[in-house]
Amino acid sequence: MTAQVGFTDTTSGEQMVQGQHQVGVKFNLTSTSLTQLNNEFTGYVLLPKGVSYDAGSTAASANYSVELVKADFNQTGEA
Amino acid sequence: MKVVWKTHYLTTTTGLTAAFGVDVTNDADRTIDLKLVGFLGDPTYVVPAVDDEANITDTVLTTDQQDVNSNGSNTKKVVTTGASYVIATTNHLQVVGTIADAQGTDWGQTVTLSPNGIATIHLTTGANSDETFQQLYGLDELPSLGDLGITDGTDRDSNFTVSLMGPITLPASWQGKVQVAYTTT
Repeated sequence: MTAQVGFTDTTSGEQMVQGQHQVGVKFNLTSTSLTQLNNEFTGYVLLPKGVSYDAGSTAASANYSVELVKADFNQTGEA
Repeated sequence: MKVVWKTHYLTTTTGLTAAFGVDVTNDADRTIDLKLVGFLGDPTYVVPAVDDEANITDTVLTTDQQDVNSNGSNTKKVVTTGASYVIATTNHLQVVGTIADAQGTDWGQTVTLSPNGIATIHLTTGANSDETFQQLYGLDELPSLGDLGITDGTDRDSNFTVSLMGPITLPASWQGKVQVAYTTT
């Protein structure tokens, strides 16, 4: 199992500019895995302070739903 | 941010993906981390072994210590990973390095080359500001074994040495305005 999260629209590795961006999430079973998983799958992305969810630039998907659950997770400023 | 997938099956070929929009504002720190916590049920899976040095982008099998899903439990098994970014804030100049093979067909962060292969590196400056930059020094270092990052002094993990083939060329608008110098130290 490998998990990935990151901005999918930055052209230069770890450098980016302010503004609108897309965050991508990925879980993959490595090709050597013997079994498949049969479960409910939920992912939580913690957005750092100053990075807010932008529903307007979020494309709707038939495969998953996305929602902002807490604007200030545990008072850390994360969302 | 909570992502709920409709499918309940994950195989070696399907995978789970999702994407959403965010706004990175002025309030963000200069370095920001994204963190992902995945609830995929009781693990019948394993994650890749991590060598000596842990990295934020590693996939880690752990428990929901922060109770991210707010179920009152911090013992649920989760898969976590993350990513770290540096924001070029207002009035900063961003320099983007891209590389392509000798034909210059596909500019990106990586290029596949054979030994003795030739690549071209582009350094593109983009000012995230309307202000005039008075003095600008650009510095780029080709990889060599055991080299360290220029600004942060950390190991660059370079596995081979690259040598410069030709002179650095400047765009026409920079001609006569910029001095180019080379050093091996």
